Amino acid sequence: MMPIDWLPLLPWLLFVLLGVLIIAGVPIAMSLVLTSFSIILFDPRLTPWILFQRMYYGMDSFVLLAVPLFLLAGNLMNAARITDRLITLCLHLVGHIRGALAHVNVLVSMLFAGVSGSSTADSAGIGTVLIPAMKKEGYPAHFSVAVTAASSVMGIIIPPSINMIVWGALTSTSIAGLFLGGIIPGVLIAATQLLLNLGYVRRYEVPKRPRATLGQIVSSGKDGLLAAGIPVLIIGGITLGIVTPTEAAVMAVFYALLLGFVIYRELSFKKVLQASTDTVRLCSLSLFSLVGAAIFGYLISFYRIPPQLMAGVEITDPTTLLIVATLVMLLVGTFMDSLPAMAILAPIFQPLAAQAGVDPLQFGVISVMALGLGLITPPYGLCLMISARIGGIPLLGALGTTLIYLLVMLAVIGALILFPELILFLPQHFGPQ
Amino acid sequence: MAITTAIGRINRQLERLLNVLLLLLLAGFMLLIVYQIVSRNLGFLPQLYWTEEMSRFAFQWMIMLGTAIGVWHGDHFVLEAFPHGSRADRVGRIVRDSSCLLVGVIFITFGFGFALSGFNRIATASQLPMVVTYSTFFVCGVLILSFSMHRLLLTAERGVYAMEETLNTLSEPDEPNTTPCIQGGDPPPTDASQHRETAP
Amino acid sequence: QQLILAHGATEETAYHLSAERFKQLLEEKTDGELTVSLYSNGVLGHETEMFEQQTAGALDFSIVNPGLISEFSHTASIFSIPFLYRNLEHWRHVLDGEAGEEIARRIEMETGVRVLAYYGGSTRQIVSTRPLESLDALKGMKLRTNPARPTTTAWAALGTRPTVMAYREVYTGLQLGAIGGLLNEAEWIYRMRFHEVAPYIGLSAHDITVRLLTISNRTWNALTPTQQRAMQSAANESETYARELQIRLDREAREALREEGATFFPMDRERMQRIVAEPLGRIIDEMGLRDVHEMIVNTP
Ligand code: NA
Ligand code: NA
Repeated sequence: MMPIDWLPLLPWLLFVLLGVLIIAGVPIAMSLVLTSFSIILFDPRLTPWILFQRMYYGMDSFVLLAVPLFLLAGNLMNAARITDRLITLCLHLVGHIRGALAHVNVLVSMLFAGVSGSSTADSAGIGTVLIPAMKKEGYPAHFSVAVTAASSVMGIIIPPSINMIVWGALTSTSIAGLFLGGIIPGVLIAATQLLLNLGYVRRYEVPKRPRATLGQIVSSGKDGLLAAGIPVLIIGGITLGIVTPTEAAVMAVFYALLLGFVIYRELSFKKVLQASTDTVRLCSLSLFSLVGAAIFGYLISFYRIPPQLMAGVEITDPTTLLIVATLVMLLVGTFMDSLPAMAILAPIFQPLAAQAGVDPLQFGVISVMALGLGLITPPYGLCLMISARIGGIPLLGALGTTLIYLLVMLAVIGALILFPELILFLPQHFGPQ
Repeated sequence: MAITTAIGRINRQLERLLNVLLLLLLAGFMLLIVYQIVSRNLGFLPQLYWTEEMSRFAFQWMIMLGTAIGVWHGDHFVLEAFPHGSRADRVGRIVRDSSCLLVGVIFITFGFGFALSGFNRIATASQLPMVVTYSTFFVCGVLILSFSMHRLLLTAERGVYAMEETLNTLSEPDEPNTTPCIQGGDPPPTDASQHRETAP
Repeated sequence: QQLILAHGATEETAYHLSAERFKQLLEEKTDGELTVSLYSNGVLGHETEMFEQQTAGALDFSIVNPGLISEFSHTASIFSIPFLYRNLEHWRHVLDGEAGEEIARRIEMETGVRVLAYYGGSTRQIVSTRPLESLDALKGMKLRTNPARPTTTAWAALGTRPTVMAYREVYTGLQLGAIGGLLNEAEWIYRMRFHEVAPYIGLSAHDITVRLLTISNRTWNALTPTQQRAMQSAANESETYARELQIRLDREAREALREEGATFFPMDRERMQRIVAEPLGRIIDEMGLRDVHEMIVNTP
């Protein structure tokens, strides 16, 4: 047993050790487990048993069951080639405008965001179709990649969103509230990106298309409306209190199966099996990082780290706190995937936010967004990497243009910090309570 | 070496079994949730309180078994701090697998006691002893041990990049990599010169 | 030596104030040999999880609702039986007498966690959206209860339709008429503002709350006999404080409710007890709690 004088150092060792392990290349979830385990061994007040109890309760939540289910619904929709149909619809709607494909990219992402719970599925599904098409029409590769990556961030902001479910589970915030709160910010992002597109496409020699006939719009509109049924089903079901988020996710899966098998006839048993296998493998990885983060969060509470931080910097102003939290999350999100980052940061920042009087929904939506921006920044920007790979250019080539889109999204976050109503309006007026 | 081949063969069988189990667990908890919705809205079906509990248990097994498979394929989230091919990167990749091995050992050593403590607690609705789900860590530990051992043995024989080339594959190598959350970074270059290095 | 006491309530509750009193007394009585570090708000886990930590020796003290530890100790479920006490006086005698001692002994045997003191003392009543002039008013009322079988059985026998609803949704549920009433203590009726939407309170006094101050046996056995005696005496003194505080808060909350326009209805408790006796008796037998129940009934 170590001398008692070392005990005050343990909480700081917690962060140092975690940092060292992550930089050394140890998987983040394993780093969380190993760091916590070492601290537990050193502290005579803690036993290894607690490691497992806290990890167990990290995954003992009925709400989290929605995560694999929404992922499965998204994967099934991808397998049913729903993106193609959404693209056709958007092309029919705005194809005659200059730079149509760039706008379509944003619009499809917005629609698809209502189907899928994750942004990476979006950039992969939409990018494989749209990036080659954009390049063929004369858009520069860096621009095509940047638009695809930036717009895919909407996947986690417009409901359903796996990140919001996890945030809700971690902080006991209403998931229905978070979902409703994400709608206006998501639409704001789409609008600002469309404006930015207008500025960009003026520089490029890109063709216009003939205006679509009413018949074309109606026929593609039918497909699009069917796909739009998913968010309506989910948001409607949850806000009316008919189903829980988890049950809504099951309904989304069955809806996707119905569309894929009966209406679009694109699914086969083999495709469903493949989508399920991918889903299970993927979500285990994401959720295991929550398991690791649960014991880490316990140690953060055990060593009373948030009050200690609070004692150093007295933040009682909601705006200041939100700005600080956003900056920290942007930084962490740059190096780490959203879910583990959330699990580490939520127990630190949530008590501080509560103390500063920030609305939990506003805090949740902004946190999910700030961490989500890491999806398009190197070194861990998955959406940017996927898009760049599809576009066949090095990641750095698209970085400059992507940063412009990033700045615009930061401006949106700024607006959300200053005007909480943008987030709170829908939950307050249509929320389940 | 014979032992590497043997472990590899065992692991391949294990993975096949786990994939089937994972799908059954996914289907299982989905059906349980469907039953919950249906029985709540149709009066004549009995409301079974254990469905919620069992669906959580299935979900927990799914996470821990999926986690173990992820170790074999090097799928877990990592931060790639050093350029590919550098000495630091090679060492980092070996540290990565060793750390997984260590987690496996911890899960086995201390997870057994945790599993046993599940006998002291009876789940409210299903009246099952909690060992049915407290044992996930121990089982996951055993699988992780087997999977990461294979990775390390293969690294010792052929070098870390060649090992990753063999094992870091998703179940369907032809499919485009559309799955989120897989470790970042471009796929390792297939340049042959990279494969000649041996483990330090 | 620093020991850890955790509980799930916020800092302005009787839970926390009593814990602080216990901490203070223990530190005084052991001349600072034993110190206590307090964790409120369930930051170390929910009540059930904290209790489990104690069974594994991973937490020293907690204050726990016995209804939440039935997964470890079936004896603790005795406190979930409604209409168990005749009045506050009887409640006191049960906890301080042979019955309380026997229950504590069995809980310790079943879980390896020792009951140091019985806190609590709030009386549970029925809150309703309609006046409760007689027991007939209960007929068909959708009553939000916890899903424990003794509670649902008793209240079904009284004519209500017990339903489950998340605590956070109760206010809206009452407002929209999804439920017609619920069971709660005056303190919480007042805090949650239920009387704004359900101003009729029936004095059913069907339950008086019990909260256990517990210590892990692992911690207890590591203490010297002197320390154990000091701790037990600190627990006893804090117990007196905790009960007086809780009973006072309960009374004050009732007065506050009356001032804000809630109407109180006396209820025919004897008739209620006669109605629930038979169905509850069957459940008590099924739960294997007959002997403890007899001890409580026979307590003067
Ligand atoms: Na979405
Ligand atoms: Na990033």
